[in-house]
Parts: sequence; structure tokens; C-alpha cells
Amino acid sequence: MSVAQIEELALERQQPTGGLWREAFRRFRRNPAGIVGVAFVGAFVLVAIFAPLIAPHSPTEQNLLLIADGCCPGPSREHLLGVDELGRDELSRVIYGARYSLVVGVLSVAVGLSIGMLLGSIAGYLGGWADSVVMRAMDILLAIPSLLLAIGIVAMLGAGLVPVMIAVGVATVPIFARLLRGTILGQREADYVLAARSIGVRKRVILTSHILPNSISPVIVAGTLAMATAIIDVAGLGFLGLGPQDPATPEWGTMLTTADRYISTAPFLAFFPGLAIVIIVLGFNLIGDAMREALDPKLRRYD
Amino acid sequence: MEAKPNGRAHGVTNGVNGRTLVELDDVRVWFPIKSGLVLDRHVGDVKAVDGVTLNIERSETLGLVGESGCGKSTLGRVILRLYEPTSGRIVFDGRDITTASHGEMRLVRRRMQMVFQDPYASLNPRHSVGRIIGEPLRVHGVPSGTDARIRVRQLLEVVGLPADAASRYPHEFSGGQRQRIGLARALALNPELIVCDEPVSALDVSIQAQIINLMEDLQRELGLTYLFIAHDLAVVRHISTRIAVMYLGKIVEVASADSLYDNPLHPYTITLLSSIPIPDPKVERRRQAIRVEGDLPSPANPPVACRFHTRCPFVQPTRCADDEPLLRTLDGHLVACHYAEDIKAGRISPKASAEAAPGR
Repeated sequence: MSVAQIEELALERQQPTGGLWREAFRRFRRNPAGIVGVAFVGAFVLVAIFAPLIAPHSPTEQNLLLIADGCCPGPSREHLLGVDELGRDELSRVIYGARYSLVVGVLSVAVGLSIGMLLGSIAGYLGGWADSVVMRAMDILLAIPSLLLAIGIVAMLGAGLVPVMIAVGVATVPIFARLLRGTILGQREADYVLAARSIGVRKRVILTSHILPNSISPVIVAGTLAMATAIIDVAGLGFLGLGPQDPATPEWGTMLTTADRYISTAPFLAFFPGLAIVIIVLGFNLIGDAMREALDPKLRRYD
Repeated sequence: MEAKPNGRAHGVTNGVNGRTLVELDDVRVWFPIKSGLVLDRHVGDVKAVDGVTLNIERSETLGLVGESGCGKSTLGRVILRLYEPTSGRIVFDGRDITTASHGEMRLVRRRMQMVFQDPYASLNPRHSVGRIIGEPLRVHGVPSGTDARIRVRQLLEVVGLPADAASRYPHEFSGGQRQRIGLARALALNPELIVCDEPVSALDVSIQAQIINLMEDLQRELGLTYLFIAHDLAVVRHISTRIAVMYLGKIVEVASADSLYDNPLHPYTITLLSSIPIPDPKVERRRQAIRVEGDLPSPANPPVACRFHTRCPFVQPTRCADDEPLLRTLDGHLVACHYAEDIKAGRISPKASAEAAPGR
């Protein structure tokens, strides 16, 4: 029996494992940290979607009678997490706040990811002067601390939730652009790309169907992790008063700002929005790390 | 250059010997070296291929050997226009493709394909084998739909892989099997020329023989022409009709396979062949090894005149360092050395090699 026949038999006996994505998903499922992350983020997504059904009160309804004896009554049966300085139900506000944080996290990362990937692809695949121009611009952006950059952009666009999302998104652009450019540079001269070129595959198709699928995994990981930082940054900008200008908006960062004044008498007002931020950020980070392990063949532990 | 390609209409015959399929005329591939932060200043060139004139005849296997870094892979790739030639002329089947546009090249690419050295790097890990082999069919629009699937299954059979391999992914295969996949992809469009860039050097020795045999069978059945790039001299001798020896961007000797091995004329060929160990300790001990010393000079700054004179054990004080030897015919070989006759007749003996002496 020749070696070729033996190998063929071996191949027949082994189950097809499916594509690399499917294998990565299988690895991800076996990582407990990843499951916890998915649980945290999943819970928040559900809470955000069904906020009106879950929240016991309206997040904006004021009840000044509750704070007649001073700020602010702590947890009670009627208000599980107490009420804030205007007598609004804290639990309902935290629940509605999940909506803002999730939307803000997803959208700002989407902004950063799309611009960053476009620029990174151009720089990495075209190379030459396009690469120089794009990457020098990214270097300039990276030289400015991201929060400072975001503050600058918000100052330019005016305060509010949408400008904050754009600002946080733009601040993440260089991260994605750099990462994708680096991985594309590594793939561009790979033999399978040369093979595609020698077949006569069009340039655009080579980029989209050969290079990008093989360069994207670190970007996906970075995107998940950036979701966490984006939520923190948005809360931070909210805390600095650059977030939604309507103080009734139940945004976690904005809630922390007002809680600041009552920190000695009602610490729970700062604690619960803070805890919510910690949990969701932790969730995204756990998912990101688990994805990194699942997608990076060098870290494979389960084979 | 003597004869132009005979002006007959092309594409009429296949498998007829004696017709030139590829003609390289003084081809140069120089890669610019740039430096500078903002404005890339051009500070020099890596002369990977520097004036190569070579023909590949239809249905032959032309072996191309040389040290790593001598430009043999670049030469293979420039034929497929994966690199742009800096100067010179590339003629494929009577047609000048040196400056052919992308659109024109697409038509020519159907007829020339490539097999790569590293069977792990040359297959896109995210594509199924069926998609990999079917890609050339899709790109060139022949045939479409279900026909393509049948063709893929056919190709798998031709290269000796099971039909269900199409739905699997490259990482499920061994190195030899992957090289078969690469071969199937190269065969998909019924090409005439396949540039094989060290197709077996990454494989186990036992698998090498399989792939070589498969390639020979395919050549016989399909009338393929191979440019077989390698550094394993035994493999090259086995598969090649003719062999070209390359040194630092230039061809130094071309001859039929057996003649090259039995009667090497260029000093570089002599040293290369002398570096093959002989599997007999007695002979091996008695044999006088003629070795090249030092490393390959930088192709960015190659020696003037004869490029080999800095390492040549037969180097002469006259001519070698200031007169560039051109390829000329001698004993049925093409050889680029001023003193080939004298070396062959034994009138010039090699310098004692510093390495060879203490061994005995």
C-alpha cells in the first residue's frame, strides 16, 4: 500500500471538520470565559430590548414627594434600587440606560470599524503613497490621547449623544486601520494570493475573497474589545457633561455625574450605574479574549 | 537572437516537439530599493534577474537550478507576469506578452499556470478544496454551474484524491495531498505551461517521488510543458529534459539533463555537482571536492564582469574580473565562461579549497 493510499484512508475515516470559522466557533463554545461573557452581554441586550416591559417605573417620571425628607431614600420595596435626587426610580433608569450604552457602543464601534477597515485596506493593499498618506494621518490621530481627541470632536460638533458616538468612533479609527493594514501586509505576498493572481482573479476579488477573510480575525477581536472601551469612553464623556444635554436622559455616565453631588448621602446612586458599566464592559472583554483564543491558531489549546 | 519564433499560426498543434513555447529575451527584473521617510528615494536595485535569454520548448521539462537567492523563482514568476519585467521581452507561443494589458493577460493566463513550493501557504485556508480548484473555472467562465462541479471532481480524480475532498478544507490534508490540490488547481484550465516553483522541496522524500511521478504522468497524458525550478539536483535530473543553471540573476549553463551531469562545463555547475554526496564512502573519501566558498554576493551589488569570479575555484587573473562572458555554444551546451575549454581539458586546476583540505 502506498503512502498516498494510506493517507487517503486516513482522510476518509476522519470527519470533515468544516471551515475555519466553524472550527473557531466550536473552540469558542468550549471556553467557559467566553460563555460568561456572552451571558453578560446577552442579558444586557435582552434588558435593553425589553426595557419598557421590565422597568417598574418610567425612567423620567419625577416624584419629588419621595425626597421631601432629603436626598435620597435608599432601596425599598417600591423602589428596589432607591430613587435619585428628583425622585426617579433608579432601577428603571439603569435598565433604560442599557439601551443607550449598547446603541452607543455598537454604533461608535461601527463608525470606527468601517472607516478604519476602509483606510486599512487601502493602505495595506495599495501600498505606496496611499499607504504613506493614510498611515501618517493615523499616526497623527494616535498621537492625541483618544479621550482628548473625542472631547475635541464633541466640542466641534456640539454636545449630545450622536456627536459623542461619532467622536468615540473616530478615536478608534487608527486602531483598526493599523491592525488591518498590518495583517493585510502579511497576507498580500502570501502564496495563495500569488496563486489567485496567476489564475487571473481580479484585484478587488482578491482583496475581498482572499485577503480580507484571512486578515479579519484580529480586527474582530479588537472590535469586541473596543466595544468595551467605547462604552467606558461614552460614559466618561457623559460624566464630563458632554453627553446628552437633557439631564433626564438615563445614560449611565450622565447619571454618575449627578450622583457625584450626593456621593456621601446616597452612594448607591453612583454604585449601580457604575456596576452596570463594569458588568457589560467585563462581558465584552471576556468575549473578545475568548474570540482571540478561538480565532488565533497559535493559541489553540483544544486540538 | 537567431531565429524568431516561426510565424505559423499558434494554437494549432500540441505535443509537437521542437516548437518554442516560451521565449525570454534579455529579461531583467530589478526590484527598486527605496529609503527615506516621506519621499521614497531610489537608492539602488536588487537585480534578481539580470539579462536572461532562454527558450522553453513545447512539451519539454526545463529544469532551473541554482542556490537560493539566485533569482530562479523570480524568473519563473516573471514569465507569468506576476512581476513586471524591468526590461527585455517575454514571448509566449509566438506572442509578445511583455507589456500585455490586464485584460490581454487574463486570456493568456488560462494557458500558463503555477504550482508553488509551500503546499501550506499556497492554498487559501478559508476556502474549501472545491472552491480552490474551481476558482480558475469561475474566473474564466468555463464551464459554469454544475459543469464546474463535475470538472472539479474530474480534476480530483486526475490527481488521485477522493471525490469528497471537494467539500473539505486544506488544513485537513497532508502536505502531499495539498500539493495534489495545488496541481489540480493548476490543471483546471488545461494549461500548456506549468511553472513549478520547487514543488517538492517542502515534502517528505517518500512523498516527493509520488508527486514527481504524478507530474510525469500528467505531462505524458496532457502534453504539458514544465518549467521546473528546484535546488535538489537529483530530482531535477530525474524529471528534466534540459537544465538551465542560474547564478546571481544570470544563466551560466544550459544543456540536456544527462549531458549537464556527465559533462559539466561551467565552473559553477562543476562545483554544484561536486557538492552532491556520493552514497559510497570509499568513493566519497577519494573524491576531490571542488567547493564554492563564501555566500552568494548581494544581488543589489553583483560582481562586475563574470558574476562568479569572486567565488570561482578556477578563477584566472585575466579576463574574469573585467570581461563579461556571454553564453556560447560548446559541446552542445550553452555556457558562459571564458575558460570552459581549458577547464574541461584540465589545463586549469581548481584552487585547493580551504574547507576540503582538513577533511582528509
